[in-house]
Amino acid sequence: MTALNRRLKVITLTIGSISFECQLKSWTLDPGLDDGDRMYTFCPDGEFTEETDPNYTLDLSFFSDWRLNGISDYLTQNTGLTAAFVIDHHPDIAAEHVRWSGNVRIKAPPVGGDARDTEVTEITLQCQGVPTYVRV
Amino acid sequence: MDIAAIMVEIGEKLKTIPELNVKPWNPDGVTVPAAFVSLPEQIDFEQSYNRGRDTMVLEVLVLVSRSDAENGRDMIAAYAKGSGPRSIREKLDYSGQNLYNSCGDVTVTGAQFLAAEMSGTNYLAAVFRLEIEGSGD
Repeated sequence: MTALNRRLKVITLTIGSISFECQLKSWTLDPGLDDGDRMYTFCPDGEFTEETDPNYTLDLSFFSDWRLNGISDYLTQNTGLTAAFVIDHHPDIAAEHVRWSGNVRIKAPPVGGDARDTEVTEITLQCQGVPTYVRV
Repeated sequence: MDIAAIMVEIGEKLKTIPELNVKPWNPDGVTVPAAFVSLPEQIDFEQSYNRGRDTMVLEVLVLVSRSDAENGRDMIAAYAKGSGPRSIREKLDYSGQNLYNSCGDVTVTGAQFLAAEMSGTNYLAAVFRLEIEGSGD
C-alpha cells in the first residue's frame, strides 16, 4: 500500500443523539487493552501470555458549553445514566469512513480553571461493553 | 469569522468613547485622540472539529497626543484603565452585557505603551491586544 496520512479535522460525535463535535478539541476512544502477564512453565516451550479484557473509555477534551443541552450541561444533567454514542471518523472521505457505536456511562465534568482562560473540560467516560466498529 | 466584520464591530464599540476618532483600518493621517483597528496578527483555524472554532489576535492602536505633551500621561491612562467611560477594555471585552454579532468572544488581554510615529510626528500610544474566538463558519 502507498503511504497515507490524514489530519484530524472532521468527525461527528453524538451522545444521546445530540451532536457535540463542534465543541470537541480532542477525542480518544481507548480500548484499554493491557498487555497480559507473560507466564512460564518448566516445559522448554512453556511460555504464554495471559489474555486480558478490553476496558473501553472515551476520552474527550472540549470547549465547555453551558447552554441548554450543550455538552457541559448535558453531561451534568445526565450524570449516572447510560447513553448511546456514535463516532463517525473521516465521514467526508470515501473508503475511509468508519464508525464506532456503543454506550457510555455519563458523568458530570469537572468545571473551573484559570481566570481569563478559555474554558476547556477534559473527561473520561467509561464505555459499557465493547463498541461496535463498522466500515461505512 | 469575517475579519472585516469584526474590525467594523470593534470600531463601532470604540466610537461610543467620547471624542475618540476611530478608524477600523490603518489610515494615513491622524487626529488625536485616535484609535485604529488593525488587521489580525494571525488567524488560527480549526481549534475544534468540523470548523467549530477559529481564533485570531487583533490589535487596537490608540494615539493620544504628541509624546512630549504634558497631558499625554493622563489621557493614555484613561484609555488603559480597566473600567470607566474611556476604558478600551470595558468597551471591547466580551460579556453578557457586551455581546458581539461578528464573533463569539473578545478578550482584551493587555496593552503595551510606546511612542508611535505617524506622518513625521511621535505620538504617545498604547497597543491593546485582543484575543478573539468564534465559529469557523
